[in-house]
Amino acid sequence: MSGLRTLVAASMRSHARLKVAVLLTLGLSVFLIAGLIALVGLLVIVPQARSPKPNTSELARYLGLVVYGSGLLTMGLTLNVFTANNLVKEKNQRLFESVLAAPVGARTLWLARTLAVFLPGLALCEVSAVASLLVVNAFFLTLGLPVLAPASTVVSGLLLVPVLYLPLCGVVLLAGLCGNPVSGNVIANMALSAVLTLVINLVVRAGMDVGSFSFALVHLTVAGGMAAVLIVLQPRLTKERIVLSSGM
Amino acid sequence: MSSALQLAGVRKTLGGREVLKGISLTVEPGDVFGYLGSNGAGKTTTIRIALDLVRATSGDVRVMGESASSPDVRRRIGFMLEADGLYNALSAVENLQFYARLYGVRNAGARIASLLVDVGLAARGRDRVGSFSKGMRQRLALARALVHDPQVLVLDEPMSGIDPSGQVELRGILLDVVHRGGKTIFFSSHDLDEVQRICNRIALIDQGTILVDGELAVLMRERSGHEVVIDTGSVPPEAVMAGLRDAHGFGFRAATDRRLEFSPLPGTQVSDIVGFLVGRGVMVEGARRKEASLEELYTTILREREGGQ
Repeated sequence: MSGLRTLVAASMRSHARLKVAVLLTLGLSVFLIAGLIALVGLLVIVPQARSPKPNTSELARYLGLVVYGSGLLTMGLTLNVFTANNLVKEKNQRLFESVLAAPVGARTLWLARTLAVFLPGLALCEVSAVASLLVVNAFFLTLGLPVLAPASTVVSGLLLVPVLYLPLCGVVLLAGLCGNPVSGNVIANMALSAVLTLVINLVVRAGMDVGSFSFALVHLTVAGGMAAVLIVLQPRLTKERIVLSSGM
Repeated sequence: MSSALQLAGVRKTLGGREVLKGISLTVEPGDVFGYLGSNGAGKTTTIRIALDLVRATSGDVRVMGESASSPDVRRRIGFMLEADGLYNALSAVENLQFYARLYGVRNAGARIASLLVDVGLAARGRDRVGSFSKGMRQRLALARALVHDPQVLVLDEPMSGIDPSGQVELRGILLDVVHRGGKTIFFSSHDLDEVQRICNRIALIDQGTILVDGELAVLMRERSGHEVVIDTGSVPPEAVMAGLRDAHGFGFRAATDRRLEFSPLPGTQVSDIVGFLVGRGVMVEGARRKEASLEELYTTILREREGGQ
């Protein structure tokens, strides 16, 4: 795995300099998280605040949804924007052919690209999850509700999205590197929609708590499934596939 | 001493089509080896196999005596591919630092500074590569190829897409670096003029088969035919010209100012023609066999192949 750190650093630096992509990710994340908080505020928090006996467990469940949702939206957008912008462009420029002609293996390149998308996504995910936890609690305080931060909800909100997105990043990058890079974007887009739909159904319809064991189990199962897909697809990760599937 | 690059019976099938049909060639240390062929002939596939980017279906590829797939070999080869493969968002210095780290170059800062001077980009080192012209990018790609001071340089169409002045500049830098560093160069091109200027050895590939391989000077001499050019000190008088035309064995073909061209018949020596002229008071300044250009050599070989098919 020689050169992994160098590759991750160069890719992250290259990503960070795409000002439009960075602004798009941050702007959209803030916009969507604000929308989520507003929606939960209007539909759940305000009615609870007006009721004579607010249901704290219901408030905690929706707080968990907001914390988890904030992380998911940020990480999902990071993956979408940076695979969409960078992987497609860099494959068309045949950048990877040059990197692989240096002493770098196909697996190192894949891992480096995965980490270069995952690590900034992880940082943004955690920041947005903590920020939304603080904002929602500020709402609670303003409306005279108790401050809530159940340990299981906070831990789930901070950990489950990265647990899901690490193998997902791997799958997206593997598909993008070894095949048509657009297919990586399609997987990333579909995954974000699928996870959002799944979470809305689990939390809102089925009444599952983000901090519950069953919610964590669903995530671990999906993450394990993707990890299995990665293991199965590893033999396809060769220099030849990456080079011959590049543009021009 | 091991060959710098050796391919033996290399075959490659891509998408059901045999792209390389058992090619063999040897590049010796210090060679500037031109690898010629039209688009789709198999040049880039050969280069990708030499760089271990693509695996040969069968055959053996060795670089400095070691298997091309050995990780150590990667550190001994510098490359310039058809696409420059530079990070647009990074500066020239950052791009070189990136590759210097991958190759584990010690004292990379000084090396990079010196290379940027060599390729004429010292003043643009901190600028982003995305703002560079094609010629500047190619010069930077050459610096990248040299950052780890490799013994062998593999260059795929290094001059493609560059304007004529940029080509002259890049060629000058390349030759300078090569002559100072004693590198071996294997480079593909379809610019015959450029190959003739730079290379001492060539191979011509067509439809995945090597048609000819050897010393450029020897190949040109072998293919030059029997045409003779004689330069005279003054324009020969008409009587001498008439004598040349009448001497059937001389095969007189044309006269341009003070240059006379012949296609002597077998049995006639160049000295016979020179003797004829000198005996009639014509000063002879030089006599030589007319060399074919690489372009003529190339088209003749391809025509022979088409005729043979």
